[in-house]
Amino acid sequence: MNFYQRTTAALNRQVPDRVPVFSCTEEQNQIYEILEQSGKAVPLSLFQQGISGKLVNLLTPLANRSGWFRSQFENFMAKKVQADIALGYDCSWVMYSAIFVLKDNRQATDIYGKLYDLVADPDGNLDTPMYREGLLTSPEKWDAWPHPDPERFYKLVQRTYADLNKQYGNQVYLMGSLFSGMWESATQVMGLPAFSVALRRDPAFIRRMVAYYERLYLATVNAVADAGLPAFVYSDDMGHKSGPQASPKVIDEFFGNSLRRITEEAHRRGLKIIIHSCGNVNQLLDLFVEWGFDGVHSLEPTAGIDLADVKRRVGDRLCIFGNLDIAHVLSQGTSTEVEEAVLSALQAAAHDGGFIMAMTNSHNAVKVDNTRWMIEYTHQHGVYPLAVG
Amino acid sequence: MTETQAIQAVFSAVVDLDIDAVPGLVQTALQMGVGSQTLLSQGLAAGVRVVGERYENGEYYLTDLVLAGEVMKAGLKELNPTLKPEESSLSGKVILATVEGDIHEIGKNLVGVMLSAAGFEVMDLGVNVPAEQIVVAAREHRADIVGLSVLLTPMIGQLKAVLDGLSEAGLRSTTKVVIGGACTTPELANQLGVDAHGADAVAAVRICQRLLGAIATP
Repeated sequence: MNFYQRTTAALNRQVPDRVPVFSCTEEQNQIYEILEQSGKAVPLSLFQQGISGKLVNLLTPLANRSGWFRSQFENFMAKKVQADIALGYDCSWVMYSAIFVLKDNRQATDIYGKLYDLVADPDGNLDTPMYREGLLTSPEKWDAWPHPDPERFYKLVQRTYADLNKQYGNQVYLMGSLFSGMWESATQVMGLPAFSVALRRDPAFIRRMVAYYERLYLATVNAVADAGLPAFVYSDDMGHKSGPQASPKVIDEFFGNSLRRITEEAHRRGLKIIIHSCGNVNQLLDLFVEWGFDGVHSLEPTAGIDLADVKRRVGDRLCIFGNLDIAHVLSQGTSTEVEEAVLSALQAAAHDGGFIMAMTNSHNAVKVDNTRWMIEYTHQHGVYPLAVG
Repeated sequence: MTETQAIQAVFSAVVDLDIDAVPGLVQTALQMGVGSQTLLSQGLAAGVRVVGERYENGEYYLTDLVLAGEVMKAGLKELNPTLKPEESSLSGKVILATVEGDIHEIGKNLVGVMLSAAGFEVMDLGVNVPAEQIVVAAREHRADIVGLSVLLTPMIGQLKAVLDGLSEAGLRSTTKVVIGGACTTPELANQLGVDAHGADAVAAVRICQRLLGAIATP
């Protein structure tokens, strides 16, 4: 089997020749290290200090208007895919992250209305902007924000993914995606306190907000399908360390129908659709099935997720992606610890197919060597019929 | 309505997370002559404690706990002008921060909500906070407790940096340090020599109260 057949089989909950490996890495420090292009990264100091810092401030409006800042992220998406191919991944989650607008040399906003700090990665280079707070803390502010037109947004996304597919679609199974799911957008543009109050005071506003995000998502799903990609990752952190951020009933009441329409559209367009959520999602697993997803990713062990339990509960209806720990195993663990984690995940969830090996998340503390070990040990131990489990 | 009923009404509205009812109910109770401190402890704070219990029992969720914090703020807005300065911070001062290199804040924010409800004065320094900044804040505010949140093991070094900084500033004997977050454990707390490890926001309140001698050590 090649990467495409292998990933497709696993997503269909069938048994491939071996367990495919999925990349969610989007850290500049790791990507440039893999590509051996460390010199290409932009030092944060260049953005913020001396004459160059002043220049960035001065040229910010031009950088935004000309699309230069956006193009940096689009270029980075290509680098990410190149790095995934270089490491030997079967499938690559490549998120459309060209959604940032430079505010000055210290901060950026995104298309949704969130404020971010420009921060450095461990090598001192400009990293993915770090969420600071929501700017749309009231319905009035949300209404006044220049939300992107979904039809125009479709064109940007479609063009970017079509280019990626043309260049790399024959080397890795590409999964399109959009930075920030509907729950994340709604809670983060307002901030969790204002959102929690609005849920109680103004449910009609929450529904209006979600309806817009649904339109944006439907446009993105169609852009990914029209670009010829085979799958979409819906990325939306609904969990925290010990459970869902809101009651499953509330999440379903406000977001469920939109999610059902998004998965229906994805399936209508021939896409597989996977949900990614950080945190403890044990109480949401049945909803993930009901909403129509084909797979589930993250399943963080540090948030109390037991992979074997997930496999037992929903493995007959969802492809399981998981769940190598980044808090220690992939950031500080030894080769032996990585091998043990790979074996443990295979044993818990790879029997009968329907399983894709993955780290739980992207983080700049993850080591490239540990990532390589994860892939190598999956290649070694993940061949069907499995010797483990 | 009796004074007891007025306090009970505030308590129930907090438990039901009725943010729009609480300010009016607080005003009504004050006008009836209910003491500010009584209303704070038996109405608002007692209500938030029940919300915390419901959260621990799985009846309430994160958004409910966060809403409880907003309900508490709405009540305190009415109550604060009537509280004597020494009554507004009865339990102690706590500085909270997510250490440098880490941006996760939900757990830390919840700890802030629950500690405020329990009468602690909370100063939240935010996320990605350098050790030096935490030490400076602890000194300037004469913090009783520093609460540090960390998600990933590579950032554990930052906990050590804060502890070293507090020691160098001569604050370690007067400032307790509590840690929490995905990669933290009681064993790590022992290893680092911090005073306690908190598993969640509700536990954090009990720990802070115990550390300051407000309740007996179990």
